[in-house]
Amino acid sequence: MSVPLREIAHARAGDKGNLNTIAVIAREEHWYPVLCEVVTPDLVREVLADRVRGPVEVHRVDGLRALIVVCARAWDDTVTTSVHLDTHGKTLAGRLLGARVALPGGRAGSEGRPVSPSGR
Amino acid sequence: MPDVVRLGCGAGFAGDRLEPAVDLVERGGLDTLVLECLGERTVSLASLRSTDGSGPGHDPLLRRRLELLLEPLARHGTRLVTNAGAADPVGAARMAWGLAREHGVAPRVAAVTGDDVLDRIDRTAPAWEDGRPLEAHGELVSANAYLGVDALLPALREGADVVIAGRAADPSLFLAPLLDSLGWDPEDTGLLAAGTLIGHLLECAGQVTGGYFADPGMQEVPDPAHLGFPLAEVAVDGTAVVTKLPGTGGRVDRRTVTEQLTYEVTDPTAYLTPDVTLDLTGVRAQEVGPDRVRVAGARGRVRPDRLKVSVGHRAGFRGEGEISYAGPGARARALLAGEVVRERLTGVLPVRVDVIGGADDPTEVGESRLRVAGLGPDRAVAQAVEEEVTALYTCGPAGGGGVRTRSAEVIGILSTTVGRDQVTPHTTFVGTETR
Repeated sequence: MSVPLREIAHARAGDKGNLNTIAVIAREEHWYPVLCEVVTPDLVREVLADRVRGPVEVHRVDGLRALIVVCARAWDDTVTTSVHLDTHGKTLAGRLLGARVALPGGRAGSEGRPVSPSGR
Repeated sequence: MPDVVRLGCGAGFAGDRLEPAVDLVERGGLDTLVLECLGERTVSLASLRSTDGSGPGHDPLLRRRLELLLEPLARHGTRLVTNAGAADPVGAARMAWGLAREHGVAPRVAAVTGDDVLDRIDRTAPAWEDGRPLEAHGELVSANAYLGVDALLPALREGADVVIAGRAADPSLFLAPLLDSLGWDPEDTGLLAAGTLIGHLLECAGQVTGGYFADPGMQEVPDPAHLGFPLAEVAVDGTAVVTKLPGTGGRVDRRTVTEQLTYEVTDPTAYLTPDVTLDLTGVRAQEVGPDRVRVAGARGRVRPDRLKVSVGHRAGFRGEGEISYAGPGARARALLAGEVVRERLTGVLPVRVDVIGGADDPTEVGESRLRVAGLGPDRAVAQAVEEEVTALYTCGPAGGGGVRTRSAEVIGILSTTVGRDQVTPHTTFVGTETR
């Protein structure tokens, strides 16, 4: 089955020059291994294709159950020079959370945990 | 030396709310309040303002913040550290001293300068953003090195109650008072890392106390209209509890803290500041009470050799225009309007066209807003965007309304580095001649 990423993670984007960072954080501990599988550079490039140019890195921060996605925008797409409405690229976090991701092998069902909405 | 120091953050950016800082000073029992007010471009804009005489070289909101804060700061014996001096820390410090006298208090006010390195950067060095030489990007209007604790500590050690800097690394504004108040060894990379982590958590103020977090149905934040700003109770071993004042809105939990721990971090094993190389991969965030999260586990390595520099350059002029369409077929009319503007501006400048909202099905009732933007080399080109969107009123598709346009000069920001030997921090105490 597939769910929007938002069901299993929350996220926050930051910006440094023409780079965006997007932290993707597991809502519950058991979702972290799933995030590590599904939040790939290819997924990020596909979902944010109109804005992200060049390489995408995904760093693991296991102790915080968080992934840090680092993606470059065009060199002149910066907070001061961008012609986009959101010059920071801060809304990219929300868009990434809208991506549908596959949950591997009936994980939610077999563990009897609801898929949505979790995190509280 | 105290066992625990209480450190608060009363502003996380230039436009932040004013009153949470006052609440922190009145009820927080703070050792030091920090106001972080400089974005990447803020110093460049301030520098242009002071050059063309259109405004102060420091943060324009600083006066209002100081008017609210100076008396309570003095009454509670709380120090203030801020980067709101922007392009004119000495001018800002003089203003602070004058305002303090008006409010019947007499703090020792110091300005920290030396971040301005426009006359000593290597203009042929490649910009981080695109690899081209800095000088290939047009006129450079400012260059400011990120100062660290070594620039801020002399003022604190000489007894300053108010320290006003320009460009300094955000976490350094917090680490410096921790070093001073807890008697930490400035060579101890473990403690430098711990204090930098705390500064990083606090530097965006409400972003760690439930600001930038509410998502109805998924992430509830109580009373966001009265968000409390953060304070940290920092132990002498470098561990800390991040919290907020009772009775304020917002929330501090593992999730809000984790979002801020990872915010704007491009490499979790090496978060670079002028003071230390911070490794976040061993950090743990643990809920230890309502709105109380304990953080520990920062590791540190030696600081970078060179200092990061933000360089402002004249990047042209941006023109923007918007217009709305509503009802059946709104989206198609907005898209057509966008094509009209694009065709009219062919050969003038490339534009970005967005149509926000509305339905593709023309039988559905919706509302769409066209937005056109372009970056051109001079003001006239940017104004052409405004003119063409405005002309849609009578020449464009049916039923457009609500035109808004604007154009302005754009200051771009590039990044480079400078050798530490090229940067000479200086501390100036103001007002002492009449004390």
